Amino acid sequence: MAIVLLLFGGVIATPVRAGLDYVRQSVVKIYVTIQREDYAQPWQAAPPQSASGSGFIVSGRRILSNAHVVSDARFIEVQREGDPRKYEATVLFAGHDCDLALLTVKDPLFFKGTRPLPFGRHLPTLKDEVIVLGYPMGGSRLSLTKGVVSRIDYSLYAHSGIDSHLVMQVDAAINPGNSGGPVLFDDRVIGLAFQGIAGAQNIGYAIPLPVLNHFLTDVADGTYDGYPELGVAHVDTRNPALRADLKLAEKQTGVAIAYVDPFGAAAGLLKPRDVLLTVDGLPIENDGSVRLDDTMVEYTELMERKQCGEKVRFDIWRDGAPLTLTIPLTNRADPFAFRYAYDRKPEFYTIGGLVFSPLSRGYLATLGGDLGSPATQRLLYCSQYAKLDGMYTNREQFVVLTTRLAHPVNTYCDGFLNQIVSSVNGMHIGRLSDLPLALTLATNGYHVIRFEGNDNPIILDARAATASAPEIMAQYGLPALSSLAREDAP
Amino acid sequence: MKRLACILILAGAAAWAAAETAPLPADCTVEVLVTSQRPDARFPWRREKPGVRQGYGVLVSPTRVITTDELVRNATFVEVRQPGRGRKWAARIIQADVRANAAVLDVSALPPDAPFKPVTLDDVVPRDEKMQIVMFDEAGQMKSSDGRITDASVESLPDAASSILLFKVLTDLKTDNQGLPVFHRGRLAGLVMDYDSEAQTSVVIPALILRQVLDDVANPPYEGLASAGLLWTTLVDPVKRRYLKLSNDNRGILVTRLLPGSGASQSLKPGDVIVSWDGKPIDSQGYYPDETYGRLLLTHLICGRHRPGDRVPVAIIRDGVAQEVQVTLSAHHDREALVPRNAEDEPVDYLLDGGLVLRELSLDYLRAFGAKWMVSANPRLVNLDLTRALMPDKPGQRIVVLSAVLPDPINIGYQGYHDEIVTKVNGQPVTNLDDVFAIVKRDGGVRRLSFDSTPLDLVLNPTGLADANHRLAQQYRIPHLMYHRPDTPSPTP
Repeated sequence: MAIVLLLFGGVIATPVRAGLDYVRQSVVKIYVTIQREDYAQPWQAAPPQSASGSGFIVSGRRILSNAHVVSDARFIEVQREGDPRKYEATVLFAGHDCDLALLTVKDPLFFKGTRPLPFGRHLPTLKDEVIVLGYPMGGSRLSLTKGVVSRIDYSLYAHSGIDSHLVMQVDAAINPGNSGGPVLFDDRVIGLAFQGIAGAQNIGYAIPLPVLNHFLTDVADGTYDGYPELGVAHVDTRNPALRADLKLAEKQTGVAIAYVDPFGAAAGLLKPRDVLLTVDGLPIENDGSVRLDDTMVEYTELMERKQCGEKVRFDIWRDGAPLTLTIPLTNRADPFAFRYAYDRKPEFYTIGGLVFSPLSRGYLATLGGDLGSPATQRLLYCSQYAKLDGMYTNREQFVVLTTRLAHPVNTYCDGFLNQIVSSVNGMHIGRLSDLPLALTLATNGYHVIRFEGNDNPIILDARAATASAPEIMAQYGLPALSSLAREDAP
Repeated sequence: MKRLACILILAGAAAWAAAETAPLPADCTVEVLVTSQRPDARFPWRREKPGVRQGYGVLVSPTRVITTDELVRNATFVEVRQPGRGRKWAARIIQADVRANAAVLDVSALPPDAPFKPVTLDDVVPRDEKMQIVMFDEAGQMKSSDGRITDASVESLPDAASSILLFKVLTDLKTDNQGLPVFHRGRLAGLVMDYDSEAQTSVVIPALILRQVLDDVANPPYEGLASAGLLWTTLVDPVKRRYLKLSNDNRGILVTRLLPGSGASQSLKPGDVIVSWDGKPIDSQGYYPDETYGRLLLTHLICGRHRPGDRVPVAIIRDGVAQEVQVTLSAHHDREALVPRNAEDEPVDYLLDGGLVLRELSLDYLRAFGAKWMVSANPRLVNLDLTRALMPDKPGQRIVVLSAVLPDPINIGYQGYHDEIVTKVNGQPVTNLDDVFAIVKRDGGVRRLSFDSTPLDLVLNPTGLADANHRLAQQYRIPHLMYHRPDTPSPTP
């Protein structure tokens, strides 16, 4: 299943009439010039491209839209229905884990005569009729489509590539350009259109009300913290033999922890083999569900409703004894989550025409069809099992030889592409910014670059490697030899 | 009319000329008919649909036929006959060797009056010498054509991890049958294993490799081609040569890894530079000058001329000092690998208890995930194969995997488990499936599996286990809940 984001990059024409005038005034078209990073050649960006999306005005002279509409944007303009003027906009907050962004417009004229769209109080139920507004492909004016809510479930948010939150599926036509447009029920916002499935018909996805509210509450203090990550994986406790092994009584229900993420909020508090019995006082069933507002939802839903800094209380069963744990919810920076990164210059470091970059989802995406080779398989493995297989303990990044800019200094260094650097001149490489220091440690005038799982090192003539820099920069159009997030002076 | 006659005369002349230069050994070739059935690599109690293959083999003694391994792989039944004739005789595989792509058949079922005459092998066919390639039409008539070796080089076989010397013979006969003979001066020069229609060349296993297999079969136990058990890399890069303080004479390769337990691991070390092997100079890309075939890879010196157990002199540079060591060649046994290839597609050991399918990780298992197995199979298992396949921590170590769970009430809650690496069974560490069989035999079944990924064990209820196994065997139609191959497959002479 290929999930597609509904950002529109194309040309337009034709109008639709919406009944609600103030709604029409408040649903805006967003024009962006986007420039993605080029992870294959990290010293330059990809060609700029034009795209458009939708958004709507919310309180505080702000526009709510998708993060993917404004990510990597170089220039943003917004336009109201029936107003020929375009206004320059800027991004206030972008929540990449929930694909939401808040924009504002400096020019007060823009908000004149507009009203923030009111939010609904609860989600509609299945079969309720909803309206989707926005500026999809096929015309330049506001479009309105109708449909029903077909499903409300957890699903992947394609923008980050790894996060899952509640998603509302509607059968109204949602097309490229609809991204960021409101979904209304009873004239109130209950969702925001954001993604579809390539090749599927009558399936459109919207970010539902609870996620919108979560984002707006999160940014109320002036910073976006993101969703808290409890960081546990569980198995259900339906098997009687497992229940006996965990010393669970017949009436006790809950799920058994199989894995605790070292970067999650539960790290150091919950342990594998713990059984979660209740969450904030609600009993957890053996399959992990809890009864909430008369519907069965996964217990993690309770964490979804909380902000970082709040707490969650678990009654747990550890080694046959009860225990109550209160866990402060956090969202620690996790370099091994491998989310897509946005609005950030990719790091790289060059020596002797060999370009090193940290392993990232963006880089893996550039490999495309080449992913099925032995060297790239290891990258895939590291990106998925860094934490599970303990590879995170002595590193912050996997440093990869991504490119060889051919030059006499590296003539014999082919065949090492996409391998992970283990050490340089005897120094362990745990992040890209270790390279400058390691490269001061040349012995007898040679750099020795070793790779994971490869007994054959690259040997560079240290002086020739340094001397080659101006020539290589000129030859390949490199504006700089490196770009490091953190410069630790050697 | 005249034109046509002219062509016919020319064609006749060519055939006659070929026959005169080298009398072709008649009646040494048998047609080999094979019924085969591959085991299902994912569900090891299953077998895939039987198939029928047809190829050829050559009688090398009154009771022995040599053919290719590929032809007889996974054979359930083998027959031979005179090419194109009706009468068939049953044959038995004595030895099939995937590394040599050769197999020896026992054809003692042939009656004494059967019209077959064995042929002798010709080990050395110089590169430019004329050879005869033959094939048979539907009536069993032999057609032949002259050919020349256009290329003799060490190449990897499609199904084996190893490489052997192979000939490429340019020919106008479309010899796309396995096991067709190639003759040189009336003797067997090799067997066809492949045909490249674009280049019009046959790929031929040379007689000197076939000879190794036949000699080995004659002196059991069968050991297979010799192996050094070392991994090496080229030393072309002048910077690397200077760094290693080597002269710029374009000689020598760098030893990077020694396989545990191999002969080379006793006398060589990683970092050694091999400058000559068995008296032949080795250049910086691993080639030596062969008297007959020119520039050949070192591999041929190891497996083409020596037997496992032979000792060969090897000149090395260690820490800048030139010295000579003796390297004992060893046999390579697939089962000694951490992740065996099982290129022979042999039935694999498995144990099914309470619906849990336990087996060892092997390359054929990973490959069963499809053409893109490196992406679609479990990344952790693929990574083990790609990085450590030949490097067990200790002899006999292999990877025990819970490959699947067949749903049944006894394993409720565990049905999502698959491709997990099992470290302990019933609390006892396991290094291979043999350990698992021993534990299960002792305890009467699987009670508890421990994994390397989580301290949360999988626990089974012993009381319902027998019933569950009975039920599973019935429901999923599994004829045997386990398969444990004999400890040492004894080669019968």
